[in-house]
Amino acid sequence: MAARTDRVHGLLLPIGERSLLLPSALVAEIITLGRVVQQPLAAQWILGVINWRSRPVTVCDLSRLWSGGIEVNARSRVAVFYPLAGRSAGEFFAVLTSAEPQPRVLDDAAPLMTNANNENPLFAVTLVLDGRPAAIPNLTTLADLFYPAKAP
Amino acid sequence: MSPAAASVRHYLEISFAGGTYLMPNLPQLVVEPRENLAVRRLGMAAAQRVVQGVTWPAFALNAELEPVAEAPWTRGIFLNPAGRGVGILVDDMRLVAVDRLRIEAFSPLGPLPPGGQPLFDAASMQGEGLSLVFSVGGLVAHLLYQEHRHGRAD
Repeated sequence: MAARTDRVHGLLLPIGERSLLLPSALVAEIITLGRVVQQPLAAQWILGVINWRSRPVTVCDLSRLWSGGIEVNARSRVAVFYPLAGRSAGEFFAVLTSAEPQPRVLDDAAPLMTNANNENPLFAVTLVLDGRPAAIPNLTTLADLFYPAKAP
Repeated sequence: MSPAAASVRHYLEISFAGGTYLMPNLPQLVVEPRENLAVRRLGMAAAQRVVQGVTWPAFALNAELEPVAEAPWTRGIFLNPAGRGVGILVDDMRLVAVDRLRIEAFSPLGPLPPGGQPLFDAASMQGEGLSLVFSVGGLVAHLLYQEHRHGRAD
């Protein structure tokens, strides 16, 4: 039987009351949160900087963009992302999650086309997965947030 | 990391407000002990260095890099001496040879700080941790912004 071409391999990142669904290929590694160094005068959605594989990587608490931020505890994880399109090879970044991210294989992408009540430019699509609010991030908006008026 | 910083042989490891940072030990940096400075508060500057009649303000900073009136500083590090000199007051400082450090480039995410230049452009990786490395140009811009914001000291 031929493989379905619309199968989507995703990763569901729980971030407070909302989860982010994105392609697994964007994420380099899921790690526990180690020592975080504060970055003075950073944007409020930046948690700090970590040493990931001998690289400095900024950890973002994206929930601060839509709610009050998530608590850091033993369940917290960090998803380290590959550099966004157009950025240099070393520009990894990381996102704090409130629990272990879960892999998802979606056999039918049609539910991802729903976009009800999405007023947040950070989200390309909003949807409900497992009865919880979820969203597919808008990577262009995310890049504008990360690199405002900066040339790649 | 700036081209000038890429060729330095030493970094200054500085500590203030409970944090430790590095900055490249560029030739134009001037380090003065507390006893060589005028310790008086002018504006938000906690001390001054007077060079040929011109006052260079120096700021003690808190963890958010805001000027504070009181701090247990022991030295002033003055930057941009070719132009409008300005200094940062630090609790402690030591010189570290570059071959004892692992310096990696770092580009902060998000909007630029009020000084208009990134404050950090590298990090010193140590075991599981790291220390951020000031961009000298970014730190100068930040200190000059503080001087402008709080009024010139002379």
